Amino acid sequence: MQALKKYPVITSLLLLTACVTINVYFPAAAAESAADKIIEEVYGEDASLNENTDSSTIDDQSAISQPDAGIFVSFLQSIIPAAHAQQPDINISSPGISKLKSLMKQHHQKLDPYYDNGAIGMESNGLITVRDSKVIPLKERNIVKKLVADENRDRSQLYKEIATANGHPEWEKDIRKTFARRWIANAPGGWWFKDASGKWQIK
Amino acid sequence: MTAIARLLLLLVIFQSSAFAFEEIHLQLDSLETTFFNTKNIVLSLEPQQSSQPGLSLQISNIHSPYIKQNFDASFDCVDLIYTVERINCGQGVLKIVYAEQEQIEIDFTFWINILDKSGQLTLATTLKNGNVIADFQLDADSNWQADIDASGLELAFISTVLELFKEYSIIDGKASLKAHMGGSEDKFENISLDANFTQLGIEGESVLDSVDIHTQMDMKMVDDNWSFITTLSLLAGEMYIQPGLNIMGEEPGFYIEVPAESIDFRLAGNWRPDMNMIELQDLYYSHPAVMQLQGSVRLALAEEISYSDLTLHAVIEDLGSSYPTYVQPILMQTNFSDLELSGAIDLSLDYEGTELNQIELFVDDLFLEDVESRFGLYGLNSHLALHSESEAVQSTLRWDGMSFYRLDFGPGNILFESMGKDVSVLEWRDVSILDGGLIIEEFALRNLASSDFELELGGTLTPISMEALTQALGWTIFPGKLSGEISGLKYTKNNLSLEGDIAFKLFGGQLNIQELQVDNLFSAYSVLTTDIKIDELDLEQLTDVFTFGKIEGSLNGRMDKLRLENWQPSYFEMEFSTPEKDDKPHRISQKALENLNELGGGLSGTLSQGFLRFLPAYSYGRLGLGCRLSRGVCELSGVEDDGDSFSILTKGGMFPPWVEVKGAGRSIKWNDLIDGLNQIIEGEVAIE
Repeated sequence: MQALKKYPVITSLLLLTACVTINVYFPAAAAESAADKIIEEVYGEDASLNENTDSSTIDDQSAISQPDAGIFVSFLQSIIPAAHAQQPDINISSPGISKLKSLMKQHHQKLDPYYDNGAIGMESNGLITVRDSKVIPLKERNIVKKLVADENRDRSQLYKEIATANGHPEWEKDIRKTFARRWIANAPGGWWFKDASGKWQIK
Repeated sequence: MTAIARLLLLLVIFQSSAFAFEEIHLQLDSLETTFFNTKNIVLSLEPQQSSQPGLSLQISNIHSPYIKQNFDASFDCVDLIYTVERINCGQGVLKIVYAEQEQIEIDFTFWINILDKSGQLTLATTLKNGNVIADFQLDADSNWQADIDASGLELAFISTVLELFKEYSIIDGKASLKAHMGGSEDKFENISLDANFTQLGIEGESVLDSVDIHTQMDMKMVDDNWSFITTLSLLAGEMYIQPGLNIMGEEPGFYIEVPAESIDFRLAGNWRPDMNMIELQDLYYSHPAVMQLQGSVRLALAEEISYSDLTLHAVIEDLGSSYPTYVQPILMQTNFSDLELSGAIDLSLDYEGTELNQIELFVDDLFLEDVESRFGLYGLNSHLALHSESEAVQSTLRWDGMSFYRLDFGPGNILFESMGKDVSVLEWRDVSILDGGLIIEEFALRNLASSDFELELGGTLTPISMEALTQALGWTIFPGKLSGEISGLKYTKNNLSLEGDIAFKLFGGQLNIQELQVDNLFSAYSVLTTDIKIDELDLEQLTDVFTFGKIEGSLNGRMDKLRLENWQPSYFEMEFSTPEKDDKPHRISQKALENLNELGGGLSGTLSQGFLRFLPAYSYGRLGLGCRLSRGVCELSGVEDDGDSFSILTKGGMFPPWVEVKGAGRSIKWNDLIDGLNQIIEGEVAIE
């Protein structure tokens, strides 16, 4: 203890080092890029026709303000493992994700006309819903309901699987949020979506 | 008694010496009734052109909850005869002005007997192209009756005027009806209705499109309770009905296309207003060739309608027809929402209060197949019975075959007994699986006929050819035989779990499956997790059936945290190696050695290209290979690791020549590894 008292600066740095918690932040930009890749595959031609390059994602890491603390910050950066500084990739190549993508692609081909006529719309939670059943012929209403139910089940599973495949089940909510934004951003004009206040908007 | 009749009777007050007055004017500031309220009423009695007195009534700004907008009304009788005993209006017109340019004219006549207060009012009007005649009569004992005869009423027009439904709008259709009502003073005592609706179109949560309906209703008041019988026949058209049921968070809707034969509906029972309750003694629904329902129920009419004492008998003659209409919408959120079905069902339910008292189900020749070919059930016949009583009831279940993905199961039957909620299995038949079978030793069913249904199974698996099994599962074809013990296999809520072990005998060794869990078993996307342990696998037996090349020795190992997504591995931690103490000779053929080198392309062997390659077999010390599969890449390890490389084969064994194989690469793509294995098994890799 006497020695520690003699060298307060070293002691402080040691304590500081001992208190460092390594957090693996959600890689928002990588997740957005992964989401776009999946969505483009699911939407197919619809996505390639969409010229909207809306990319309003805020990178969770870059959003953290860093005060100009000079040498002190440099020192901290040198002792915190590189894992924090690295932007990890998002793995979207597991068998489960491939299967879910393929199922969603199949659904999408059937759902496409109902997006176009406004029968279904995109929710702000990464799922879809029947928005206006009046434009669906009576005979097709249950078919659309089933497609929406199947699609939502697979979307929820997809968000969970991506989080699990990347070893971070706790990312599921962030992945869902990312997808929620990107489904809308990648959608062609004329499709309906719910904005943050819950109001239907046409893209 | 109608409000108009009451007003007419008011005139009686002024009747005496009426002719002594040249004019009478009466003005009321406001009038409020159950049916309407208004703020300005002017009643005039004055001579008309014929010198006969005329009666007129002007009412402004009438508001009624039954009419969509406020309206003005004028009531003019131009042929009024007053006597001491009687007031008679031989011709009158009631004008209702409900919009600037819109008005309805109703011709009327009436008479009132001033002495005994009897009277009659007759109304006749033309609404668009429809006609309405109404007749109201009041006798001296205050008994009244009303008859309405209407034909060709355009319902879309009626719905623009009358507030019929708040959440629905009638967009099309015509109605013809005859109605009779009777009562005493201000009470109704009987109501009857016979109505035909044609081309009816209604929009709202439920939708009717071009529907023809014939309905009849008879209601009678008996001891302050209403006894009623209603029949309704759907004759043509299509509809989407959302009855407001909430099933798994969704409100199912039923699409019904009326067939050539009518769909008939009948309700008979008692409405007890004092108890806010309806007792439906006869509930009948018939959709020809699709479904018949008959039953009874007691409904409590609170804010949310609740039921009790339900009895129901449902006969479904053809599940193939009834499934898309009545069953699929309810199963929309489940994995049974896309089935091909045939067969018949006869179901009886009996509730005592809100508790299920008895259920009896007969299933006749049911064929069920998932459209995605994930599962199927063929030739199912069953009689299931559950009683809440203490008496034991037996049930049977037998089937000709089942399939799960490409796994085929043979016929089976089960005899079980229920006593109250307890179900025990009495007899069963062992189930064949591919070319082997499952000898069932434990079998339990719990919570039958509920969403918490559980099935528990244990038994012995008689040898199944691995070739048939791996082919059925779409895996790399794997020869050999599989047999073993299964204990504590449990199915509930679409999940399969293993409380015990599945122990297989495979290639002279033992394979144990532990911690098995399959989530979403009957869905398009299933996830399997398990740990696998292998003991004393005889490599000679294993390699004998492959074209891999002969290896002698034993192998122990485990595959932990195996995760199959869509039945393909996405993660595992695998380690296989020769046991520390192994009595078997450790020999490897040249072909096997070459294959180890070739495997995956990431390994390099130290096999001499010289004379050694002419020797048929070599000795080795230990053999081992590990793989941690993650993100589609297998991180390799061997039986020994020196940091820079790892050994798949170490030097050793009794007789020379000795060989060793070292792995140079640390990782290999899983798909490349599988492709390499497939090529070796299919003999595509040539060994010189």
